[in-house]
Amino acid sequence: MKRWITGLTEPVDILPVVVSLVPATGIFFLHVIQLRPNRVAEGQSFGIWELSLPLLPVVLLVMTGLVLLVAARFVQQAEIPALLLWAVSIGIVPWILFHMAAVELAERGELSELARVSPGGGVWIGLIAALAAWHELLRSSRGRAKTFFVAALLGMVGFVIAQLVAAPLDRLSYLVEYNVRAERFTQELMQHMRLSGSAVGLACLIGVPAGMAAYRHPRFRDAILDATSTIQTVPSLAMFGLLIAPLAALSQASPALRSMGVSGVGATPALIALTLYALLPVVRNTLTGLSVVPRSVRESGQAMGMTRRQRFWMVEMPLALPVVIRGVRTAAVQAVGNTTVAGLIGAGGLGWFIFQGLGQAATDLVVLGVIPIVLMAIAVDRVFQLLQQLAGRGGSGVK
Amino acid sequence: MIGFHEVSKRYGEKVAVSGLDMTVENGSVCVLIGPSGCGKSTTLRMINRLLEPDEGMIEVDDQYLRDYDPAHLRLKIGYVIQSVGLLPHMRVWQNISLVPRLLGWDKPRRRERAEELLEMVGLEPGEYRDKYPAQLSGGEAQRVGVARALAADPPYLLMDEPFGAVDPLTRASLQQSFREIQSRLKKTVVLVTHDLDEAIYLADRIALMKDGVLQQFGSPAEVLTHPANDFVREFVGSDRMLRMLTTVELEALDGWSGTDGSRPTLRDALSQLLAGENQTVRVGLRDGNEQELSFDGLRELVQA
Repeated sequence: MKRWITGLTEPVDILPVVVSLVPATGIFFLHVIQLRPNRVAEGQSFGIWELSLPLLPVVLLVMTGLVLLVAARFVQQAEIPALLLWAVSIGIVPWILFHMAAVELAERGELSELARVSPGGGVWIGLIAALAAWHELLRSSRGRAKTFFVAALLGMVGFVIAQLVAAPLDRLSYLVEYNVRAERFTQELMQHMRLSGSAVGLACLIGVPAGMAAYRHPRFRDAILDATSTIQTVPSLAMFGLLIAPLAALSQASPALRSMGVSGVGATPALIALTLYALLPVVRNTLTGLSVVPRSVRESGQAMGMTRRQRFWMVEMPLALPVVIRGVRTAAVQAVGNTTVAGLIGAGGLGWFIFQGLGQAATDLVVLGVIPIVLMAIAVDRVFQLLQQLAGRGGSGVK
Repeated sequence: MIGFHEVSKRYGEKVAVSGLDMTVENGSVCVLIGPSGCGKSTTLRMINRLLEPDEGMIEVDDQYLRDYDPAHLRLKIGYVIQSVGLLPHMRVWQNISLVPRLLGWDKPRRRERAEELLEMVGLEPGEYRDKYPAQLSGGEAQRVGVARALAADPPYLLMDEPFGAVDPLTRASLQQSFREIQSRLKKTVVLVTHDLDEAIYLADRIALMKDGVLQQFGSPAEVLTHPANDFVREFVGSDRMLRMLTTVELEALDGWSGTDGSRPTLRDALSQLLAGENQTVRVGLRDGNEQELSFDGLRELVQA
């Protein structure tokens, strides 16, 4: 069943948005806030019933949602403003409740110098529901409706950021962790980007020519594909471990390598392992991209008087490019994630925070590492998606 | 001039072309025709060295093919194929000016040349120059394919079923455009088709092949009126004299309303005779004479 809202320009699919109401109700019976007197102390959680929170926004949220749910069930059309109101409230109400809870705790005098707060389960579930709703809204809306939604989303993000820099939310546990280690954070963030960026760069330098070789010499095809896919089956932790011994030996044997910083642990094995992992998507997509160039196009290039080299660079490679970029995109997103593990062998990167946090049972520190990794992966994915579209703009229709 | 000297080509056991001896004169259109698998495409593709003959020699411009660098040779031989093979990532003007680009022309000159050619093949440059191949219809793409083959003004043109993949109306219009262009440019053309009417309409010389062997090589009128053997007779069909009618063009024909640029033929004259009540119809011949054409007169003209 598909129910539509005919909006300002294009219809928006309403049902998936409204379905996000179900998890959003979690705010009623799960906790909104967690308070800890200091970093390692046991936390104490509060739900909305234990705090004197005004219930109006919650009621409003649920009412709008219910009205829309009913509309989706029985009515074919509804107004965009109603949908926008619902989407904004599902996005912002959990956060507002969290903020109010923090304000109340501060008024009670519970937010001492060392105390910190973090969102409770209800707020997290609310935020996830909001994420799902907004994803669907942005995906299915077009034209002016989309502009409205994007503007509303940016407004909400601005609102949240504005609250984060002021009391009492400057006591947000992740922010506290960040403030203590701001310098280290920047350093590890840069290291993370450097490591994953270089690994993807190296994988392109090796993988694209390897893919070309596999394409030109079918004899090598299976060997190259087998090698790269076997690498993928080695668990990343094991890969780092496997590299320690040979690299340590190399470093021992050659002072020149040692002076370049090659050793069993640190950035060198991390870079090698990450590059190896990034190879498969690059190689496979280069091969696929080149293989699907139509025969007629290839032959017409030949008959036109192109040399082999001209044919490759003027016909085959440009046509394969979108598929190749698609492979680099996969490799890059993977690399951002895999680089996390590099923190374990002293290569640095945001994984450092995660493993430190795990070691100290400090969840806040773990989250401080996880959030930028997720954002980075999404950003990388989007950038390559754009490149892919640019490279394929001639259309794939062959005439 | 393109000369074949005892050329043979085999694919494994199968003989594709056998002992081909034939000369295509400069400025003429030679149409290779025959049933599927007769070796006509193979013959064509040996001319620009997409295939190499197993035996014999082919010469182009009094020089044997084996003495040319293949890529260099192809730059002076335009090539049009049925699937067109336009490069999907390049705009129309870039596709057309591909060979000039390989020859090192600068960009303004290439653009100018592309627009000139679009005009020649009957496409409005302003509208088509910046399109991508995916945005063209089959007929338009085929015109661009012809423009591309002519871009560097090559003396030779090879066409492999160039008008095969379009609907009959579009095909007729493409054939007519091609004839007009050819009458101006006088390229040396080798064209492969399986459509006898197309061969008769376009060819100066028809090369009829069967099982890799040349059966007859002559003008359309020769092939139609004097079939060399039973196979040719069967191939051109029992209605071959009707086909002859289309080979004789007229300057004028009473009551004829054709599309611009095309000429009436004896076929149209016969149609007028059959449709009208009169015993004759007034026609203007290509030699400038006018006459009242009767059924008897028609027979004389066809057999002449």
